[in-house]
Amino acid sequence: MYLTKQEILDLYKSGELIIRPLLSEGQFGAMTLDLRLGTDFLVSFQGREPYIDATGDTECRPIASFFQETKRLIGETIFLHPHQTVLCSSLEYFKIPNNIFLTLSARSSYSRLGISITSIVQPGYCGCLSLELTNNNNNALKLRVGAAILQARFYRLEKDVDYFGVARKYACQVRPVASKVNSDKELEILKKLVE
Amino acid sequence: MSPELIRLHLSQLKKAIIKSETNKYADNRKQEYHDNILTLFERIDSLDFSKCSISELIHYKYIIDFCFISIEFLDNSILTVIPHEIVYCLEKALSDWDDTNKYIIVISLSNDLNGFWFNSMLSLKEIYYDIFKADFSIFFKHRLIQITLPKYLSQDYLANVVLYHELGHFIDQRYGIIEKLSSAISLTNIEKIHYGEFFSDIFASQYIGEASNYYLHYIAHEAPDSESHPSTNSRIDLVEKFLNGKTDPILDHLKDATFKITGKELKDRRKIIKDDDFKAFIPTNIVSDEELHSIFEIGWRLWKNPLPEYSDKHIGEFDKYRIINSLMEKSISNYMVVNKWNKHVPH
Repeated sequence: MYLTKQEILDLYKSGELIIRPLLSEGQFGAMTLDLRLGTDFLVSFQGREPYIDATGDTECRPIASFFQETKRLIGETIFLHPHQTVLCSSLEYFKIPNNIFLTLSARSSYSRLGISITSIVQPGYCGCLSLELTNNNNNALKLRVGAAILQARFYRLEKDVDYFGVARKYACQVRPVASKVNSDKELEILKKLVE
Repeated sequence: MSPELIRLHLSQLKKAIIKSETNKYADNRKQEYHDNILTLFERIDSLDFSKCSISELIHYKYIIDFCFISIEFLDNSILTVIPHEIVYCLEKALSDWDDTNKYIIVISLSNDLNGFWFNSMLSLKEIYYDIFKADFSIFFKHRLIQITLPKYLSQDYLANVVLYHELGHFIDQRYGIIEKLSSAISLTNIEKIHYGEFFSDIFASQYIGEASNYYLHYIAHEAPDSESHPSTNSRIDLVEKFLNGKTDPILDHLKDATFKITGKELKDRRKIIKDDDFKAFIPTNIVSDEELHSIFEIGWRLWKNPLPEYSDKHIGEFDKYRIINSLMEKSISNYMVVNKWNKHVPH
């Protein structure tokens, strides 16, 4: 079930939903919450290796080495080049109730510029939200750090989910983290199937 | 020293300067300082060293060294490299002791894992700035407080409590506190050095309480008295006395001299905040500068003690370390963002 503005506000005011910082209550929409572009970025670049290996091979170059870390202050700007992937975080740090999950999408004004974001946030998650921005426009885009570029919709589940029931790779992150896909145990099993 | 060697040194500096020209600083004061270094370099580069005496060549060598060190620290003080949130906390502490806006904290990263130190060259050696003004007509409005920290610990909010101690060295030397105290009570050279360390320990503990002792104990272990430092135990003991409001002859001398010389008190400036938020995996809402510095004490307390809130959720030691650091960083950065926002948004 989608949550309305009042229901989201009630969760926030009761302390069940944590959002820090919440710079403006204007971020609450009729059934959404606007989220701001954070200050830390991992920008993809083409290095020595011709491809990113996401097969779990232990000899492959770490995925983090395909990204360069950079930082801005709130109010400064950053470029998003055509078809470039930039990892960043929401400015807001969240703690989501155990029976709520979020879907994220670019706000309409930013979708129209060619930015795509689609992601979900699991019930019980704590941390800044990881954003994988890709500029699908043929022109470079200049974005203002702190701008409300995406929105979250809230869904309520019938039962609680225990987020920390299994080991979590991305819990409590405050900066963007490169993919840890190569630490997935299942990739090792899959590799053995053809050995 | 020969003109050819000065030219070699100057060429090496030119290479460093060319590389640094693309630096982008979040603090305009750093850009202004950088621009002055470029002008200084151009003026020296235009000199004819073949007509200089040996003493003049040595004089220029010192100035080129000054430029080199300035560039090294400025290079490491761009937003991507500098531990911005920690430096913000240090700037807040600095502003309690100096409101001239003359000093900028800059950082250099060292490969030495224990490489925390302060150097006074760019901040307090006024003779350099006098020469730049008199001989080259270049006026520097600001001075750089050089603090070095280990590269591998640059984002470590537990280890970097040591930087408050290093800032203490700057404050001591800026006002000549131990120098004047030493003359007044006739300290030996070693006692004078030890008093300088005691002062910096007490300075740090005003803001971060016993957190300074925790890391000191970790890096210095049970070190006995040496020529450069008093014994670890005596340093820890003095900080505990200061925080518990007890008297001690050394402590009394330091407090008395500091107040007489600076007009400011060495006092417990902490406003201790609860650690409930960190235990619940969320950053703390800091509402004042005093609370800001207390973040370091919270982080250390949680790290040092059993934390069932984490272990019950299968969070191992490395993730505990990562999460505590993340929460400290985010608590500080949220305070910075909210303060900036509130200054520009009408209520």
